[in-house]
Amino acid sequence: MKFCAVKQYFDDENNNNITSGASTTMIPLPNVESHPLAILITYCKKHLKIKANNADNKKETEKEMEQYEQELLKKVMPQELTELILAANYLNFKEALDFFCRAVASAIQNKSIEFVRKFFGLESDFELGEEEKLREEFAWSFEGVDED
Amino acid sequence: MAEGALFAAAHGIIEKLAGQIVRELDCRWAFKDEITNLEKSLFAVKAALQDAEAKQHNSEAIKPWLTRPKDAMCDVDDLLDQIFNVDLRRQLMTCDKICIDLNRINLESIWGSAGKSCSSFMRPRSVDFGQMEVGMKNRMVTLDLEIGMIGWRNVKVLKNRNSEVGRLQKLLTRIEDLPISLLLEILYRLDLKSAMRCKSVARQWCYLISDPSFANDFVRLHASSVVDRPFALLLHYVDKQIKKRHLLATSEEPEFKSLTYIPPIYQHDNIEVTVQASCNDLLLCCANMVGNDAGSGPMSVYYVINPISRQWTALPPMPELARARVGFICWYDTALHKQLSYRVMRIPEFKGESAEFSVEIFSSDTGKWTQSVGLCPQGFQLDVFAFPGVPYNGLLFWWSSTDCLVGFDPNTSKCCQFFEKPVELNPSHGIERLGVCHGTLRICQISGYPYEVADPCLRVWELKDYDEGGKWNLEHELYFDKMVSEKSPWLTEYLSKKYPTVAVLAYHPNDREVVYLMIKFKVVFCNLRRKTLEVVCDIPTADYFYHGCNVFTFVLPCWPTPIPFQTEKAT
Repeated sequence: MKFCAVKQYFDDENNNNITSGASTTMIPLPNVESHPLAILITYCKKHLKIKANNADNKKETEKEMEQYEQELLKKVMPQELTELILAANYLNFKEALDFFCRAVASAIQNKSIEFVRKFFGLESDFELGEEEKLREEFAWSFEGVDED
Repeated sequence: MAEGALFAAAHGIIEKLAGQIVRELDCRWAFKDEITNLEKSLFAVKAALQDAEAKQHNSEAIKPWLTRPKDAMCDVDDLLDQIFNVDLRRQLMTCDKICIDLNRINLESIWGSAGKSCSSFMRPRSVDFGQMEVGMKNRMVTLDLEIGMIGWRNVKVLKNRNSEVGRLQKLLTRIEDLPISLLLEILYRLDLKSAMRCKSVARQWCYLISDPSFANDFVRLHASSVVDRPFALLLHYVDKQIKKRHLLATSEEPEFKSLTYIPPIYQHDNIEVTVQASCNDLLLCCANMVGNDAGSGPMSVYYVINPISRQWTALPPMPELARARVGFICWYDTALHKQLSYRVMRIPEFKGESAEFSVEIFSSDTGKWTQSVGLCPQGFQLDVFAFPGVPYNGLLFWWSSTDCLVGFDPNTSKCCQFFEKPVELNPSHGIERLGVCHGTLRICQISGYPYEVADPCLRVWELKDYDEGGKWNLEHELYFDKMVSEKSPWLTEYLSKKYPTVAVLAYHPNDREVVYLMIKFKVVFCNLRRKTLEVVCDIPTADYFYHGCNVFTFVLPCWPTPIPFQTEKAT
């Protein structure tokens, strides 16, 4: 089971000998909203399906997964990515967490600082002159940055 | 313990708050599910803090967060103004003190065995533990115990049944959404340039990225991607007209623009800075006072610098020695929690062949220079040219004028490896360049006219069987008149003439077929297998670079090697 947090819940239930009886257990996931959860479930199902289809061929799996990921990224808004990361982290779903972190990283890679601030909803909290000093010290890192 | 009492008091207040809030919430917004979760969260916090006893982390990064809760507290105070009674507000204000004192407490848990009772499903993992909900469930104070930071984040209000809530949401827009560990996960996946640039986004980011632990984790994540690291040759020469030393990098990539950086303390007209040696992405430079220093005699200050991160540390001053041979070697000491360890070996010039000679060694572990004796029973003679020692396999290698390769242990200055010359080597003139390519030692020689009546030829040998006595293998044998340059036909013509002047500058760090030559004031890329040439850049003077002197290879790492804080910087 990829949602490790949920798996742990089941394991713990067995350990505590809670006889729930019913085959469908209600698992509280207070920190995950329905929208990101739905996306994660779809991602997980797709991941397992592709893995099953290409049981021996690791490269094929990777390629197909990449294609699916590219398509998924087109449908998801950049701001939603942070929600997805939080959800994947809470559920302890490592593959999805890695994927969404990579997605955010590539969204902000080579972009200007103002863009990154806007993306994360941050404001500059540097004192006067501090930011200028940093810019001067690492001037080389500001070259070749994409236009906003 | 006083701190324990404070924490207990904090807990008491928060529980009280939770109780109060819960009651208020209950009657206004009917958040029944959230109420039970709040209780569970508090238990989770306690469990987390118990775990945290082992994970203490002293970090500079915690300091900026101390100001944050104050700001947040003001907002919460405003909210509560509208909704709660005066008593509760007064209680909440004391949370200000709680947050600041957490820094002193060192995250020691004093909540005892209560933590054991929490449901393991709510057991905290590396992120998202310690979710204490203060205020209107719109702020979550996250204690990130892996890196010892207090963070705040927004949480969307789920059930918007009251217009009050809409106003609340507008007030809580400033704080970022992500807990720190997840933010780090994103930053680790950036490339070097973007990550360095992100230091300027916000103070917290600057602290996070500058922390030494960031470097370790960043490298770990990037090490799995196999990619040829970019590199540049650093050429050091003196501009005779203006009598100034210059550093020239062969690559125009932005990352290499910093290579010529000199710390401001040494940027004076009466200080002469020279690059002495390089190892990985660190340079060893020497600053000499020009002109007489009253009394003590001219002193040299060697300093180790990482030009990309602009970190540097100076070694204690030593008497200036003209034409001393210097060797610099560095490595990560896993015993010292992956801290950088380095040695500098300085051999004062001596004439002739000798089995024993005086040596000065600096160790970063002791922070001192020590006098030592270099031992080489087979005999060692300094080369005419002041090459730096080549760091390889934990030893510093020099080519002896007796036509053999000698490797010294930088800790004991004893000769630990000794290799005779290759069979095909022409004994009448020395080698062009000793270097490392793709993990093996290499030497090369240019033979032919004017040394002997033969066509000029470049031969490159590689040292194989390093652990079993060593054997030189002739890897390449290239006659100059066979070399062709497509883009610069004048090169081809020049080399086919009788007496071309060619010097070998350096080997490519990874590509075994490539060598860098100096031909007619130009750095030329030469592919030995394809016999092709390509001009890389111009150099204003050729004098300094014969036999590869004053040429240093700089390989860009995944992340700049952090230099540990050493002794005081000396002037």
